[in-house]
Amino acid sequence: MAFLHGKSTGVLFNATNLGVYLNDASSNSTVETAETTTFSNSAKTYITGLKDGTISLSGMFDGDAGAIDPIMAAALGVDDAVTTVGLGGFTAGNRSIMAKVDQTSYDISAPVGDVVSASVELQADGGIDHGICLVGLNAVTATGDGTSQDNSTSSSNGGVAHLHLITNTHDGTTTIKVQHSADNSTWADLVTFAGVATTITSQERVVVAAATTVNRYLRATHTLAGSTGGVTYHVSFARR
Amino acid sequence: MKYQVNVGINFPPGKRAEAGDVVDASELPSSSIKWLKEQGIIAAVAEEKKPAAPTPAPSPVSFGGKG
Repeated sequence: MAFLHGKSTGVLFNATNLGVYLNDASSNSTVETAETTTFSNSAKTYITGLKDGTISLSGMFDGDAGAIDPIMAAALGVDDAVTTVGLGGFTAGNRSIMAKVDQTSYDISAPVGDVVSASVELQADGGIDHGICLVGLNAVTATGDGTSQDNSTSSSNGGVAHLHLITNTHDGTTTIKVQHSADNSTWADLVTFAGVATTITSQERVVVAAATTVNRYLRATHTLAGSTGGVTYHVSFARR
Repeated sequence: MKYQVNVGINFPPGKRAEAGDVVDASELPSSSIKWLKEQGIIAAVAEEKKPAAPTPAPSPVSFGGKG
């Protein structure tokens, strides 16, 4: 068991690294319960229903181009932002909180005696998944593979994968995949994200269908078709 | 034995086969073939039957000649 300090927490919102502006991130995962108590029961009984969740972010206001203010102001009213919170930072193997979100509020506070702050409320659209980082914030300039992540067993109910490609100076198309393996030797494609064209930043969320086998080992791979420049990307995957 | 690849795979030493490729069993790690088949990632390709060797033409038989 290893405890984590919050100081290393990372937050990716679409193709922006929001963590550099934030000092607090929290998530709340819930499930509805419907009461099924009948006359013969001596205690209340329930069955579970629909899952739900929210993510709250807060930190410092920054109005520069590409900083928190223009990003979050523009995101208000836009559906389905891809959001990943890296607990203990974006390091391969660390746990991550993953959700497709609709931003429900963006608050700015400018007190006379303190720094201007910003806070955001995000409503999960499809629940919150808890996964792992397959790579950190991976800065690469050539084709390669991430390290293998061992779940110690396979799972059989699909999952969800997030890609955040946050910098791109590469002169060709970048293709990123999630691969899985039963033996840590031969790897099969599990998720192939859409190819990202030169200099474009991007994000994508792919749901692997329920009942799909996800083998014991997972890794991310990146294929860079050009010859100069590089990309920085992150991939998380949550089994279901 | 050959296998058709249904989902792209990477296998040692640094090889890659795309969906639709056909690979020889000897190229794949023997320990991987079982789970790849079970999950439908590869499927055995039916071996084509070799055409039968041509039957030699029968020797001409002469009738009415000298026995």
